[in-house]
Amino acid sequence: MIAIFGLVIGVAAGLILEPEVPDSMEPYLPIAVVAALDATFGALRAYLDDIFDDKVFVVSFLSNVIIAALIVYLGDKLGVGAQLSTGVVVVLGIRIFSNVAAIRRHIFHA
Amino acid sequence: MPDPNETREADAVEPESTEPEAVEDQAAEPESSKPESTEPESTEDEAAELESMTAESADADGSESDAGDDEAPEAESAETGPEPADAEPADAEPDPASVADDEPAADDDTESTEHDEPETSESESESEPTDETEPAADDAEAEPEAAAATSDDAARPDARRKVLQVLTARPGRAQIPVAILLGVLAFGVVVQGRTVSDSGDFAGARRGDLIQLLDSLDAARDRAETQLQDLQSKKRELENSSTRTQVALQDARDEANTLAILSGTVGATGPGIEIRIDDPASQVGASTLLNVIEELRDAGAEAIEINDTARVVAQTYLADDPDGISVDGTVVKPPFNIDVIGHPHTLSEAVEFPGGVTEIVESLGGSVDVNERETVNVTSLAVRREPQYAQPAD
Repeated sequence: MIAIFGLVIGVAAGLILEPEVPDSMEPYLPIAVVAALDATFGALRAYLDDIFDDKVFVVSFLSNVIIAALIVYLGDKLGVGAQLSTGVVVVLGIRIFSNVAAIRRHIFHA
Repeated sequence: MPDPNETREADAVEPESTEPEAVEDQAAEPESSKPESTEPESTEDEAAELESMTAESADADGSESDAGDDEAPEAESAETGPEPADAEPADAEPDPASVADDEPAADDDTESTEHDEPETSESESESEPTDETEPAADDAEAEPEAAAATSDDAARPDARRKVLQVLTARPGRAQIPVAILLGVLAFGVVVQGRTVSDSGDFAGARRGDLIQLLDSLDAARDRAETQLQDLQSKKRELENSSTRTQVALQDARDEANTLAILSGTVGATGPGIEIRIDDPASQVGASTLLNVIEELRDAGAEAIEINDTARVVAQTYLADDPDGISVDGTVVKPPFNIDVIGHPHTLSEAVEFPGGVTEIVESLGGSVDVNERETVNVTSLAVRREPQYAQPAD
């Protein structure tokens, strides 16, 4: 319940505050969001697998976000930021798909 | 016990779906129409959903599973077989454990389910080790999808109840960091969505496309600037030509006015003199009048009119006429009133100088009277003459 409240509060805060993303952060936010999505779906799958641990979730969430942003940052420094961020998105997207597939098998049995 | 009887009947009808509740399950959800759906856990799920039916059905399940439905344990053993690398072993192992874990957590449920599930879990645990040895290879050869389906069947009741539990569970401290992180995620998603939507259509464009777009925009801008310069120069030209046209038109108008006055096609007004020549003896002829006109022209007369009827221009001829003097065919009679526009004093001097017009007229017995006027109106027009033979030469 608290998790859903957190979700709702986050959406409401984003809608109400309408913060401006600083230019220096602009390339990293979408990657960080995708990484966080990956961590979240992984946590949901782990929960359905009964191996969910909130500490693991927090650590994986933060590390996913930070590592994804770091990879993009490194890519920018190396001049391959666009390609590297594409690669990160692809990898995270594959992980999200596999996680969602596992969740779907759990819930819908299909 | 009515339920085992029904199950035997179901067995008689369909050997695969042995349980009546499994039949109900199939009727309720077409997804579970696979033959392996006869697992005791699915019946547990329905037991959780249909709490009124739970006790009896669970008893029936337990009896049947104990009686030795081979298929369900086989399927579960097949789970570990085809997909060991994935999360399947995690599924297979914690399934009984999860049942054990969930039950104390799901205290909100009726106690009957709690009592039921350990039985079934026991039945699974009983059936698994016995089946692992023999039929595992057989079912491993069977379709892996069916095995996965059976694993899903095994996991589904847990998943359903877990989702339900998530929604109904009392908030605990452990959820707080999860809630915070989910809030951060939702915040990031919303902010990013807004940023992308704010930044317009080109946010998702590729670099090559953007470069091409920039190039085309540059080219378009260059073309527009060239066009602008052309148009501005054209505008300047037109303005210049317009000014020149205005000047030329003004010149032409002035010229036309000058020529009109000189040719006598318009009336004229201005300073000048009025000359009155009395000729009681009718001695003043055309030659005398021509002398007068010549003197006036010499003094700069610009418009000359005789008796308000005859305009004197460059081509005017004077001829003696029985009734007087014919000026361009218009007969004028004495006394002659001559209106002259020009410098008044110069004109009057030209008339009155010694040995001039005045003396000639007086010698003929007439008299000349000259008055300088501020304004002299010349209203009569000369006879229009169109040149028949003369053409303008370059």
